[in-house]
Amino acid sequence: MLSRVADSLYWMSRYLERAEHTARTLDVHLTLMLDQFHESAPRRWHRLLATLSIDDSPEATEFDAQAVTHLLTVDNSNMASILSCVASARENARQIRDSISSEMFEQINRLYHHVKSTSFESIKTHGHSDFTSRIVEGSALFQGVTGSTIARGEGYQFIQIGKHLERSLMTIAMLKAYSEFYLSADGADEADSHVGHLDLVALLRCSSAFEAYCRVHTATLRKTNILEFLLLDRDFPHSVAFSVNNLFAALHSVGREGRGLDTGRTDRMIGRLQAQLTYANIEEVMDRGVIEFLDEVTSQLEGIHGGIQDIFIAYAIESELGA
Amino acid sequence: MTATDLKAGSDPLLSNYELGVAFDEMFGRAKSIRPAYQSVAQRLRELPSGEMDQRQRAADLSFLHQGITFTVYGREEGTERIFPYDLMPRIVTGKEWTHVEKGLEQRIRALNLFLNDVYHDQKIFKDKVVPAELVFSCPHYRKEMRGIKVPKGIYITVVGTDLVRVEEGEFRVLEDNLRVPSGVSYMLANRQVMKKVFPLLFQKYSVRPIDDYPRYLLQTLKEITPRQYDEPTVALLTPGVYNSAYFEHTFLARQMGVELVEGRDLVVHNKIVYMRTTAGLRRVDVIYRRIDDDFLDPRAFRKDSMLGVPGIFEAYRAGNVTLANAIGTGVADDKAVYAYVPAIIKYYLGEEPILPNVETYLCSDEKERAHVLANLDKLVVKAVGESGGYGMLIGPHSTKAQQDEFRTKILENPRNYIAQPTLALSTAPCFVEGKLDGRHVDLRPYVLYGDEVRLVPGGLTRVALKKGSLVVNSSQGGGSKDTWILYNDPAEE
Repeated sequence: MLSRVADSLYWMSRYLERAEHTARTLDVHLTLMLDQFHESAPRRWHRLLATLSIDDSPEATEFDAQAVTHLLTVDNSNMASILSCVASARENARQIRDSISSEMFEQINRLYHHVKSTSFESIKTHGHSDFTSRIVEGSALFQGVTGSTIARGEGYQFIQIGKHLERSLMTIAMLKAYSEFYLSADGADEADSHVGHLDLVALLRCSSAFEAYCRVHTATLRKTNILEFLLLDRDFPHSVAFSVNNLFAALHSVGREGRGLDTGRTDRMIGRLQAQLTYANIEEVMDRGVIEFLDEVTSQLEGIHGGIQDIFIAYAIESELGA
Repeated sequence: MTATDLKAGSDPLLSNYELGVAFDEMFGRAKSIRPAYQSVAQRLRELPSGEMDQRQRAADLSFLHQGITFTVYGREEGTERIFPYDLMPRIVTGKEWTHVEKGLEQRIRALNLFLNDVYHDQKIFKDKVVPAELVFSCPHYRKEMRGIKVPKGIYITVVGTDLVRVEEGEFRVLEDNLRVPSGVSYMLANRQVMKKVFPLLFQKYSVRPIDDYPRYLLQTLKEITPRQYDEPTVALLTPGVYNSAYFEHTFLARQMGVELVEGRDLVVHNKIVYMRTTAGLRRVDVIYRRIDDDFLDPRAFRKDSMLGVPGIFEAYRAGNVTLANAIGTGVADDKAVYAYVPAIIKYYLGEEPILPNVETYLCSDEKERAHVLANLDKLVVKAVGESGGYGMLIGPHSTKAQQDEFRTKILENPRNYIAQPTLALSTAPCFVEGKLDGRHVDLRPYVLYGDEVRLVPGGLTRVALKKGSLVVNSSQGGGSKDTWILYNDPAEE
């Protein structure tokens, strides 16, 4: 597979994952705000932006539901808006449309035309949820046709790599933004106040994890359980450990198809991270410091991103022809 | 039943149709419906009103969703438009097609022999059939190609020839496109959309399938590989996503199952071309390039080209890679050389041309120039190196000022201009604003040349969407139609 194509598949997938996550997170927060005490609103908008790793400028304090909705949906000056993400995903898809199935392109193209033709006025008129659910559905449809129309070759693996890398980074950013809720100084494990409870439900819902969590731990929201579920659960598709396992499998599969090229570097990095998440225990993580742990995982994921670029995409020609 | 029995009749969709002086594809004189179009007419009568509109919208949406669009620049985000598509099929009978097919094969063989001669022995100049200075002064002549052997002597692998029908329906060649002809993806996409929107109508006809084109193209490309090797690696070289034909490049690459590469994906080392893949560098044997000669290699041609591959010409000259089409084929589709094609056919093949040319005046010839200058208001004047409908004067539709401008240009550089009579291109019914209206059309079949000459039975019918206009190019507001080549001729059934 052409290096440029692999790169575009990877970014297409990352952008689309990000658009979906942003849509879900926005929807959850706008719903959450309906149950808000007014005075805590600015802090929550800040947290929403932190959840999405968007640097909030000082004027962020001025945010209200409308401004945030605009910023995250169809604001084309915001590189992280849903519009920008879908447009970037589609632009990447357009550059490699010979390498994905027609069904995949048509799906992402439809989604793009839908987002592009949606005005902020119409979001205000019809409510945000039509819009956000269309994004989540669009992404699901794309995953669906991807699953059923493309061979499980390298291209598919690069799509998986992009998706799971983005997803794990987004989940970690979200866990960091919400740390005040499960790292309370009082040490009480069960959510006590109403507000804290709602926020924890929101945290789970941003990852579509609420129902899955309840099946495992019942509706009793224990902070350590939530953290463990989103970080270390092996079976839930939005947990960091699950994404890293998939990342491991996809990278391994790509490396195998390759030449005798040195994939050792990414193999080592992803292997170490996977082992760490597989054998970690939540109490240890809490003891060592959750934030430190999350930061460390983030920097390992970023290292893997760099390794992929160096090995598969932007390698030096001299090293190849030397032999 | 004879052709005249079934007249346009009482149906408003058909009866208000206006016939001009030109040959009409569907209607004969006195509005008799040609046999091949009678089922179409019948189907139109059966359709409830408003149905055509609805199907047109369905077709347009289908093109948009499939991303079969081109980008219009100048606005902030680059507006995407679909290439206008007309629902009414254009029908060519089996008999007509057989004639076209023979004519094109003859023409392509002769032009290829001509190119071989131009870049090797130049016998045709010595025999004074074509003036040497006419060829040497052509902007697309590449002296770098002298003496270079191309695999199997094939220069023009992919050809798109523009045909028009004049007077009583006779096909003539208007233009040979021997460099990077485009539009074949629209031919294929139009058919797919037609089947989706008008399945019942399609079923009534026995239309010859065209879906084999990508397979034939791949086979043809493999046949011109520079090294005997079981499975040559073929790639399609595109200028990139901003090229107006980008959709076509992706479409063909996918249908053929070959890599779509940009210049930056290729590297040349020791005169061998490689592509940069995730598994390392991989050698490329045949490149179907959709980049003009000028931009192919900044080391050999235009230095400012960002699209090309430095060193690719050296690899080509060394015979390590095949470029299709070959470099320098533009000398044979030069509009002034065009005038000599009948002579070229006779010279190399000893045959009379099957498909005639359109009468052409060369402004480089003193007598002919005088005739052109005296008749600027009646003739079509074309710049020889231009394509896409640019650099043209259509006499009867032009102002005095435009004629004067061309008069000056012709006198400044006579070699650069030719003139032809203003042809009444045939008209075909198009669906415009809720009714059928005649528009001028041409036909571009695609010819492939490898171990043999291959044509799929079809082509792109281009439509000048503006009423009365004779310019069918997409860059000038042209659209297209699905083109049906029939197995059997309805008149003979």
